[in-house]
Amino acid sequence: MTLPSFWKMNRKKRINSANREKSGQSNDIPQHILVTNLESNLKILRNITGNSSDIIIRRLMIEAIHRQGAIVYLDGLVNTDIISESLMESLIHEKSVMNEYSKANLLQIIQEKIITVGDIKTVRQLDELFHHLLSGEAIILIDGFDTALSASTRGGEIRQVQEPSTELTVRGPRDGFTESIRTNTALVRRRIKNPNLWLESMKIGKVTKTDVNIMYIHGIADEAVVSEVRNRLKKIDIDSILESGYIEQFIEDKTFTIFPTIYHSERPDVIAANILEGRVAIFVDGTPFVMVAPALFIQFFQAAEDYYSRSDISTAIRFLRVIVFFISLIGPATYVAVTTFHQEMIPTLLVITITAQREAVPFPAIIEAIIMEVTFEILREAGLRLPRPIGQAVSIVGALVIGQAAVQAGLVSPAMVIVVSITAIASFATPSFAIAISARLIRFIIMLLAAVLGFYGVMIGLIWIAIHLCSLRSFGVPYMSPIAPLIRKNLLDTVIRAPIWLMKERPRLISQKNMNRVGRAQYPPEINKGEKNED
Amino acid sequence: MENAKLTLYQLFVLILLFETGSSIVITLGIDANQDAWMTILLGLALGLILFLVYYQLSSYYPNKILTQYAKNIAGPFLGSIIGYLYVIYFMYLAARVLRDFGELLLTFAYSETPLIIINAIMVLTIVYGVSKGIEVMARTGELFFIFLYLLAIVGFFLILFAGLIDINNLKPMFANGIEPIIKVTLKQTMYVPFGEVIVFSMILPYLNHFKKGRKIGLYAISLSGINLALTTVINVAVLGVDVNKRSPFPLLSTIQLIKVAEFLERLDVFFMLALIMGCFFKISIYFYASVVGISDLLKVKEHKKLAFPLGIILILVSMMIATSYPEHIKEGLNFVPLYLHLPMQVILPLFLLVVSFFRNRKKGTKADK
Amino acid sequence: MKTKYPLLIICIISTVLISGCWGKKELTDIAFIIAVGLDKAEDGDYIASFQIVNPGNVAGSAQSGGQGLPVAVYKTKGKDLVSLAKLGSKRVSRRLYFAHTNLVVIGEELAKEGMLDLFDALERDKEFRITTSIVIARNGTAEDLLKILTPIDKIPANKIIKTILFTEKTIGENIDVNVNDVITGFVSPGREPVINGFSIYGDKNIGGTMTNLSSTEPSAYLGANGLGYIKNGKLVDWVTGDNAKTVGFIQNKTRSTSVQIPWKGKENAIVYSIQNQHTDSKPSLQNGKPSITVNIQSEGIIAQADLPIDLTDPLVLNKLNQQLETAIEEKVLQGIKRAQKDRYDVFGFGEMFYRKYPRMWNDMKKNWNDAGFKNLQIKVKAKVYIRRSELRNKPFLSNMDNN
Repeated sequence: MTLPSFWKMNRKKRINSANREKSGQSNDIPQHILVTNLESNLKILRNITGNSSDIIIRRLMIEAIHRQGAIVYLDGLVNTDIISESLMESLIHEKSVMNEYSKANLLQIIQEKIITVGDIKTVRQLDELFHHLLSGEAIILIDGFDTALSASTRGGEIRQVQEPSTELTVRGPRDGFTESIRTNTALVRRRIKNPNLWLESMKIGKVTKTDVNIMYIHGIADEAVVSEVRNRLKKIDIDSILESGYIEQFIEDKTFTIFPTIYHSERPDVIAANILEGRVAIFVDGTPFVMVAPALFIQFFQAAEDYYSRSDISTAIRFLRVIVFFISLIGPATYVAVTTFHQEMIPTLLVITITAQREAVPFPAIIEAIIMEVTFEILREAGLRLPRPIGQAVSIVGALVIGQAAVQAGLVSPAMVIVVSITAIASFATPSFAIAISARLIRFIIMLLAAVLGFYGVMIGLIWIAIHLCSLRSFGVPYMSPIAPLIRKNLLDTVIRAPIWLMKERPRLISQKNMNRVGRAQYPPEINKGEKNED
Repeated sequence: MENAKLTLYQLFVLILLFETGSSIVITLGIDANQDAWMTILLGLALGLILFLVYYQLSSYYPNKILTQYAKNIAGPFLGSIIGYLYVIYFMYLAARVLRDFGELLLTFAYSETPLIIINAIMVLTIVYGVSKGIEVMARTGELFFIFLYLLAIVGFFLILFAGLIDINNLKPMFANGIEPIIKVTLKQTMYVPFGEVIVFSMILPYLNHFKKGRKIGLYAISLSGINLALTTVINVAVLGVDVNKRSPFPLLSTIQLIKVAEFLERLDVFFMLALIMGCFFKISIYFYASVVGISDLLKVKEHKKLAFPLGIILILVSMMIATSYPEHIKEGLNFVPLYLHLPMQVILPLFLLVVSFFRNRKKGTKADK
Repeated sequence: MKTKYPLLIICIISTVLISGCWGKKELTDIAFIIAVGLDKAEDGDYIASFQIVNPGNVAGSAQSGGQGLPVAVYKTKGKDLVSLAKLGSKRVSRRLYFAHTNLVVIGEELAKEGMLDLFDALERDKEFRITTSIVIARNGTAEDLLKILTPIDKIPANKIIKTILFTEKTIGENIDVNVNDVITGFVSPGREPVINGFSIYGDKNIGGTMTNLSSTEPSAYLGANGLGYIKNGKLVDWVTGDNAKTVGFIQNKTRSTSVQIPWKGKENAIVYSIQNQHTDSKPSLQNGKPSITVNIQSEGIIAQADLPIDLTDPLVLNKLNQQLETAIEEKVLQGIKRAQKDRYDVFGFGEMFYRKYPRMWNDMKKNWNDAGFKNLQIKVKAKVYIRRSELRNKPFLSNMDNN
C-alpha cells in the first residue's frame, strides 16, 4: 500500500530539514572580547558594524585619569542631552584624581566617582557590548583597558503615552502602552507599588535580540506557571521577534485551535489587574501589546470598564456580550437553516414576507449568505487598509450602498442583508479582537453545516466547538474554568459581575496559594443613621 | 483507565444528563395510563437501590472500573467474560439510543435524509468527545447542562402560560388499582432509565472525593426522576392519555401545542436542540464505557486509539439492530428488559455484590478503604 | 492523533457534504398552503381544494407589484388524503407545504356523511400541525368557501381563523376548535366534539374575483354561523344563539357575552354584558342517579338600560342580579336540554363522571349518550355580579321622566 510509505518519506524529509535549520542563525562575532588598545577596539567595532554612519565615535581625553577615551553611541537611539551634559561633561571636565588613587582600580574610580550617569555597567564581551550599544546606551572605551563601560543614555523618539486605539473606555485611565519596554513596565509598576512585583528580563531572537520581560507578583502567581513561562520563552529559537504575536505562537499550548490561549492588551490597568490575579505578564520591546498567561475563555469577554462601573450595569452588559457572541457565531447559519429546512418554525406572515423577497433572487439561501459574508469581510479588510478619514466613510457607505444595490439588482434579499449586518455589528461588539476573529472563521463552518443539515448541523457544530473548548488548557489551567469545571466562588466574575466586595477570592486555579483579596465585611455601610430629610 | 479526575459536580451533571437525556422525549410507563408518573417515581425508588448496589461494588474496589473488578471478584477467566458481556451490552445500548435518536430526527425533521448520515455525524462528534477523555466530556456536560436546564424551565413556563395544562386529564388516579403501576414499573421503568446507571460503574473510580459520590449520585438520580415524572405529568395533562399512548414522542406533541402571545408558537426546533444534546450525552457515556472497557480488556494503553474504529462499529450496529422503527420499539419493550436489563442490571451486580461482600468479609476490614 | 486520521475524517465529511443536501427546501420551491378544503364528489371520491398563498402579492412593501390576487385555489380529486396531496403536485409548480396550513374546511355534505376517515392523515403527518383550526362550510362546499376574497384580510383563511378567535371572546357562540380537540372528542366516550360553521353570505360567484374587493360592501363575504354537533364523526345538528352559547359556557371558553332581561314590563330593557365568567360542572349522585350541577359565576357591567332605573342603589342591583341569574340559568338549561334531546354529550359531562366515579363509569359508558346523558339530572346555578355600570350611573331616561 502506498499510503504508509508516503507518510514515512515525508517524515524523513522533515527531520532532515529541521536538523539543518538548528544551527547557523546566530550571527557570529568572530572575536569575543575587547583588547586593551583603544584604536584596535574602535577598529573592531567599525569593522563589525561595517562603518555604519549612524554609529558616532567621539574621542575625548579623560582628564581625571589622563587617558584617551572614546564614547561610542548610536545616533537616534540615545538621549543626546545626557551624553553631552552628563557623560562628556563629567569625563572631560573632572579634575585629575591621579594622585589620590592607584592605577589598579582606575576603571572603578571612573565608574563610581567620575561619571554622573545613572546606570553604568562594565562590558568585556563583544556581543554584550553590541547589545548595549544597539539598545541606545553609550559605550565608553578607555585606552589601556580591555573592559568598557556602558552608560544608560537611552532616548530617541518614542511614541507618547496616549490612549490605546483598540481598547477605548468611557470611564477609566487613558494611558496605554507604547513601543518602549521600559515605559511599559514602568506603567505597570506605577500601579502596583509592591516590592513583590518581580521582573525578569531576557533576550529572544538570534538576530533581533529583542528585550522580553516577564512580570509577576511573587507570592500570588503560581510558581509552576512562572517557571513554565520561563522555560517556554527560553526554548524559543528564531531569528527575529518583531511583535508579541511571534512569541505567542511559540509558547501557546496548542497551535491548531482557533481560540487564543494567551490574552493580550494595550492597557496597563488591564495588565495590572491580571497580574494581581496571579497571572504572568510578558512584555516585548517594540510593541505596545503585552501578553498575559494563563488565559481563560471568559477573559475575552471582560472589558476593563466592567470593573469601574456599577455591578448591575456591568452584569447586563456582560449578558449582552454573550448573546452578541452567539449571534455573531450562528446568526447567518440560523437564517439559512430556518429558511431551508425548518420553515415551520417561522410565523406564517413572516415566512410569506421572506418568500416574497426571495422570489426575485436566483441563488439558494446558502450561496446568498456566503456571497454577503465574503463581501462583508472584503469591506472590512478594505476599511482597515484605507487611511482613517476615508476608511470609516467607505466602510459605512460601502456596506449600505452595496447592500442596497445588491438588493435592487436582485442578487440578495433584504432579509439576508439585515442578518449579515446584525452579525457584523455583533462581531464588533465582542470586546476582544482575538475572539472576534475566531468567531468570524467559525461562522463560515457553521454556515456550511447549516446548509447541509439545518439546525442539526448547527447543533453538532456547536457541540464540536464546546468539546474543543473544554479540552483546551492554557498553561495547565483548563480553558473554560470557572464554568467548566465549576468553581462556584469564581463564578461571581464571569457572566455576571458581582459587586466588588463580593468577589472575595482570586481565580482558584491560577493563584493557588494566595486567594483572598477582599477583607471581611466590605459591603457598603447601611445608611440608616444620619439621614437628612429636611434642611 | 484514564488519568483523569472528576469533581462531584461533574458527576452530578453527567448522571443527570445521562438519565434525562433521551428518556424525556420518549414515553415512559404510559401503559399505566394516567398513572404513568407514579410508575416513574416507583422506578426511581428501585433505581436508587440499584445505584447503591453499584456504588457499593465500586467502593469495595476503589480505582477499579467494572471490567477490572469483575476479574477480582469472579476470577480472571469468568471475570473477563463478565467484562466482555458488559462491554457488548453497553455498546448495544449505545447503538439503541443512537437508533432512537436517528429515527426521531428522521420522523419529524429530516425525513428525506438517510438514517446512516444522521447517525454517522452524531457518532463522529461522539468519537471526538470520547477521544478527548472523560474530563473533557464532563466539562462539556457542565456547559450544556446550564443551557439545557434553561431551555427546560422556559419550556415549562411557556406550557404553563399557554394554558394547556388540564389537571383533569390526570384523574382518576389509581383508576385500575395499584397493580398496573407495579407491573409497568417492574417491566419497564425500573430498567429504563434508572437501572442504566450501571454504566457509571465505569466512571465512578474517577471521582476525586469518592466517599461523597454516593450522596451526589442519589441526588442526581432523584432529580432526574423528578424531572421525568414532571414531564410525564405535563404530557398527560396537556395531551390526555389517548394521544400520549399513540405518540412515539409525546413531548414533541405537547410542544407543538404551545401558542403564547401569537408569536411564541411552532417551537418544535427547541425540542430538537434539547434532544440532540441529551442524546449526545447518553450515547457518549455508553460509548465511553464501552471503549474504556474494551481497551482495558484488550490491554490497549490509550483508549483514544480505539475510539474511531469502535465508532464505525457503533454506526453499523445501530443500523442493523432493527429494520423498522416499530420493530425497534417492540424489541425494546418486550425483549430487552427481560433478557438484557434484568440480568445485566440486577442479577449480575447483585451476584457480584454478594460474592465481593463475602470476600471482603474474609479479608477483614482491610478492604474498607 | 497521527496524520492519517484527520485525512480520513476529512474524506468522510466531504462525502457527506458533496453528496448534496437531502431535506433542503428552498423558500421559493414550496407552496404555502394556508387552508385545505375537503368535499365529497358525486362518485364518492374526495375533492381537496388548496388555498395557496402568492407571497409576492401579500407582502406589505411594494416589492414587485401587488396587483395580483393574494391567493390561488387549486383542486384535486382522489380517494384518500395522501394521494390528494400528491396529486396536487401535478397542478402546482411547487412542493405542497402543509406546515403553515392554519385552517381545514370540511364541506357540509362530507361532514354529514362522515369525517372519520379524514383525521388520521391529518394527525399523523409530521408537517401538518394539530393546532390547525377546523370549520364546516355550512350551506355550501368547502371549495366555494375558500374561493371568497376578503377585503380586510389579504389571506382569506386568516379572516376565518381570526373571526373565530375574536367571536369566541366577544359573543361566545363559536369556540375555537382545532384538529387535536376534534380527535380527542372522537376518542373520548364522555364527550362529543363540536365544529364551527361558516357560511358564504351573498353571491359566491362574484366572491372569487377582484370585483368582490372593489366595492365598499363586498358582494360576498364570510361569516361564522353556528356550531355543529358531531356524533360518531357525522354532523348531526346545528345550533345557534343561546344554545350555542351554552357549549361555550360549560367548556369555559366564553369570556364575554350579553344577556338581556325584561324589567318592569318592558322587554329587553336591561342588557348585562359579561366581562368574565367561570363555569364549573360537578357530577354527583342523587339517590343513586347521576346528576350534574353547573355553577356559573359571572362578573359584568350594565351595558344598556332603556328605562328609568336607579342603578346607584345596591338593592336594585341585587334585584337585577336575581333576574339575571334566573335568565342565565334558564338559557343554559335550555341549551343542555337541547343536547339531551338530540342525545349527544358535547359538554364533557361523561368525562367528568369518569374522573370522579371511575367504577360507575365503566357501566355507564356503553350507551352514555342514549341513556346516561339523556336522563341526566341537571341543576344550573348562576351567580351574577354586576360590578359597574360604565360611565353613567342613572340612565338619562330617569331624568327625562322627571321633567
